[in-house]
Amino acid sequence: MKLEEFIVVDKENILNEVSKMKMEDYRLVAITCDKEGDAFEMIYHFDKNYEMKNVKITVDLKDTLKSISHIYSPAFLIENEYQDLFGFVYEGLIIDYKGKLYLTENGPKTPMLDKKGN
Amino acid sequence: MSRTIIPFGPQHPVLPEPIQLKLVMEDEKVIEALPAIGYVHRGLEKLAELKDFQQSVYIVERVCGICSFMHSMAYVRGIEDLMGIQIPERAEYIRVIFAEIGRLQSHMLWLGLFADAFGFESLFMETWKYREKILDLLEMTTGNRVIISANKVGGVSKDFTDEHIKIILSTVTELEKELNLVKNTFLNNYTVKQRTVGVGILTKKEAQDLCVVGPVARASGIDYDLRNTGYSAYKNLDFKTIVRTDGDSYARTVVRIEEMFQSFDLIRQAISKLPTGDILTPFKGFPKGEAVSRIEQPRGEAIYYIKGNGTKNLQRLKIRTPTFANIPALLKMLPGSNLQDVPVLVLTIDPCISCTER
Amino acid sequence: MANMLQLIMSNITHKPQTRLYPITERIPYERSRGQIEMDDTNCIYCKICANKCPADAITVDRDKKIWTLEAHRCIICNECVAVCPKKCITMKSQRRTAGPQNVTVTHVKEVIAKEAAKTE
Repeated sequence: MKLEEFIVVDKENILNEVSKMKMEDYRLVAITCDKEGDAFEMIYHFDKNYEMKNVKITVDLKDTLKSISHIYSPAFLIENEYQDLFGFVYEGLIIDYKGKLYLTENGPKTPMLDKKGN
Repeated sequence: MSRTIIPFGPQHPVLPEPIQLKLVMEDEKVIEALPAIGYVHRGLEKLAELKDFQQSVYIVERVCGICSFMHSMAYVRGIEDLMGIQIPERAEYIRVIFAEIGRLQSHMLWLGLFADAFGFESLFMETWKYREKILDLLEMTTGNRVIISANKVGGVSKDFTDEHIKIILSTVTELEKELNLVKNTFLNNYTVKQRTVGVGILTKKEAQDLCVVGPVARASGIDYDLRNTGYSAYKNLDFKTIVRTDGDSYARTVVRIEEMFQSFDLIRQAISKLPTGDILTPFKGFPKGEAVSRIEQPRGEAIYYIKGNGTKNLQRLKIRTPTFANIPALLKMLPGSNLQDVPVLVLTIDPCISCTER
Repeated sequence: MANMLQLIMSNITHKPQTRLYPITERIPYERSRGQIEMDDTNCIYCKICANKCPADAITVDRDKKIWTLEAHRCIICNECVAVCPKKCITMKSQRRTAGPQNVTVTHVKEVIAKEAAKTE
């Protein structure tokens, strides 16, 4: 289905918004991220009874992002993946791989950042 | 008490795909488990940005070898939603038939590997013998056994003849009789019950906190099956969600075996309602905008996020597969168990690590 | 226990489920996809097959009239067979055999290439 409506919040208030979702028994489905202009847009997808709600924040590469893994514990896996692929830095992760989840010492660094083609 | 660390994996006879778990042990009990993944990371999301959006169907199929048809079905449904393409009815039914055949072969593969995990090799060989009949069905209709390339944007590319439909129905009836015998062996055998009842219990509250999906969630009492939303031709088919409340490995086995019998029934219903018509519609243009497409794979719910910007390459493709969501549940079940239960626990969430790492 | 015994008994009396492979041949089905074959008598060098190939296995040189296929890159997906306007490419059901080196299939139109070389 097409994504048209989002709940847009400021990146400072993301923890409040996610805690509200947890109180209302929503399940975290995925976190997606893409480059839009100069900054990055992260969308948190939640689901309850087959209905989805999407929360969008706008971040920059040099920000230290707040991790939601103490509210929703499965989020540690996907936030570690974004540390590898895009180069974000998260604080407060329950298990931190520090950029070594998929990528190795002598491999490419932050492969998703440069957009070739198009 | 001194502690030792035992590495389980990445190469292990029981694992179908490489994953490493560092188990911190005290005598025979597991205290903690740390996962390490990344052995089959191929960067497929980046490759999909460099190819034409119609050629990406072939890339997305190769994310996983076991659930490959459903990956391409989710991708193609996302692109069709974004571009507003309406596909013919016959194509919807053909997709559902291939999807249910794919679910059958995935559950049979799992049943064999699960029997191998606690050492019951004869049962492993029996179920894989039945799986060969299903793979022969796929080769007869599409040309290939596992990665069938039957989906295209706008419909399907392979059709059934009347001869094929007769053979599919007779194979399904034959398999149902043979599987009844295997089901009784599995569920009523004393040794199988000793190894699976009470092992790896996940209560309903824990399952909701850990956001698990698929048969793992349905065996803990959560009634959630995406086919109830009625996507594709499922809105015209009649079935009930299979739920159990015990939450241990035995309940997960029961859920998957019952789903196999439900698939036989769904295939028969879909074939009886198959309409006539063409199977592919032509279309023009490029995808623009964002769309999300969700589908019920054999292991759970998979979500595809597609973003197009009006050119022939996609701007972003993100895939989150069901095993990605179930791995934290494994890390919760392992502490407190014995070393001999570790292979059974790892296999009971049905790990498909190439899906997790794309 | 009784169920497993019944399964074992029926397996003992049944003939083997496997085939003695190199001695008995496995006959592929009619729609099996094995390898593609190209006949270049009608080829117009329009390059549609090279554009559509998802694995970039086909290269077409329009001036020198050369059509090349790298067989180890081909994923046997049937796209080139479906889009060729002159129906030059067909799908065969027998697979290629394994060998020590990668196979590259080249088709060159000899007569026209020699004339082009003479007029240069």
